Amino acid sequence: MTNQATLERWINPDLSTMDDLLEELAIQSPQADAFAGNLAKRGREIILALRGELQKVICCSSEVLEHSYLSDEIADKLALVAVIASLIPEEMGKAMNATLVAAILVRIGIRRFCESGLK
Amino acid sequence: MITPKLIYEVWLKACRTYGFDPVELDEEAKTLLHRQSFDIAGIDASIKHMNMLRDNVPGFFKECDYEWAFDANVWRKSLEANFQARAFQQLSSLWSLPNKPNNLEFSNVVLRYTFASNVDPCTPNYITYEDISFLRMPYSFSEMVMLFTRAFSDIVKCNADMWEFKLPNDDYVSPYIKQILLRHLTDDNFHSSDPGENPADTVKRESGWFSDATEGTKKQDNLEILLSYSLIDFAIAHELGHRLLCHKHNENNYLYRDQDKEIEADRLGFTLYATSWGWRDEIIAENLLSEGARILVGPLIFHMFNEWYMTLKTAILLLKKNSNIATSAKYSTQLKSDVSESKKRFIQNMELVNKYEQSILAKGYRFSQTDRNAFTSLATSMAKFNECLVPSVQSIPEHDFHLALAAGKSQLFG
Repeated sequence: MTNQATLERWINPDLSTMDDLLEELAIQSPQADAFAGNLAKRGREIILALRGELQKVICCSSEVLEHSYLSDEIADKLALVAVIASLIPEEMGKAMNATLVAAILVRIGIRRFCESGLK
Repeated sequence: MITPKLIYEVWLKACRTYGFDPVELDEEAKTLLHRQSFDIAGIDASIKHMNMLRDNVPGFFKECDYEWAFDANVWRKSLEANFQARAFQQLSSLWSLPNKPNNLEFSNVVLRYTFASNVDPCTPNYITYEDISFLRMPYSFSEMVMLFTRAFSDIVKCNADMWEFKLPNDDYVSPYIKQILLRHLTDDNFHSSDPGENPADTVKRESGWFSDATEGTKKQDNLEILLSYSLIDFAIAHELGHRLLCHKHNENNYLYRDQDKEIEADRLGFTLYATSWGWRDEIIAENLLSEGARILVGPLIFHMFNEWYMTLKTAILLLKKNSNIATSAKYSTQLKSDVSESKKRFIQNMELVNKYEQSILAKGYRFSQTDRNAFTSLATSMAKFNECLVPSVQSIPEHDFHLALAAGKSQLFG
């Protein structure tokens, strides 16, 4: 379970960068690379590969849509993170921290995330 | 017992969990990209190769439960089947040795080719998921191997019985190096599932300096074949080393950057690579080195490939700082640490290369003074190529550098 201080750090752009979050995501992936590389890029790769699956469960959710129009206040963002984390597929959420994935999506912006990659 | 159906289900689950392949979760993309007409012939050829191996070492395939590999439906791309056949070549050669190390695990290795386009890192990697050990071979690795070996061959020429590094002029930057730089600089804004123009193509159209960046269409020359085959096979060997040693993830479920385990995989990978050199020799025979010396190219190019890429990344970081572009202090620190790790591994592996030279001489194989001179000239040329990468990056005009950085800025992540 992610503690409150960590969650607030993830959500607040004054306390963490997007790369910080993506790096934390990358180190949860159980792959061993032959040589070192940029962890933030690896984190990006994970989100983009899972984008379609995440869009299916998040972008049509009425609860997410309601929350995504709230203010930029931290408390509202934390509520949105909780809603999104609860929608993340179980297998994905068990292996990688669902709250972290949700925090990344909130930092990206739900509308921007849901409109990205459209063919 | 592993079956094609089980492999399909487990890999799909792994991809749904960790995002290992952007195409695996996209049915439309899979229909377009998997098992294209040119893949079918390649898959059949690789299964023929596996059949030859099975005729020679039947016990390996039976004992290690690899009958599934002979079902063509398990392979989605010809390269994927080819890489698996090469892995079998290495595994079966070591398995056959009466004096092989104890407690090695030879079974359950499945190669998967993925359409991952991330270039940093781009090297193959190893994942165990539900007792299957997947060796993931990203598209970007094949791409970078091709570009680096092409760039090297563009500048290094064969001269009598040695290789010689020779730039056409002091300002020359190979168009293949430009393509590598362009891919690195625009990578964050490029993904196979994003519509629209590839940002690298946008920059080529708008930039004078990058306009001749190219992947090239020429057939591979003998030097490229020698380097690319050796590099890919040694990379496979390294990952197989992790599997054979049953390297597991720690309690936090990641293996990332356990230096000791990487060096163990290098060492066992070297043994795998050296033990299986015979078949590879037919493909890379046409060059200056004789059989015994060719084996040494594998560990050399494996580590030099990483050195070249580290040099490019460091040079790009420096150019950003000199251009007053904000950079992450954390990334700078991580890159310094990665460079230090890389150098330590390089020294250890070159010690192995020296020991190998002594052992092949002791076994009566040919490794003449001519071989020694040619191999030294190749290693020297690789070092000089490494040195030329820094001025190549520094010669990017400011306008074109900013153009590439702007094109590479991620629309999604900012």
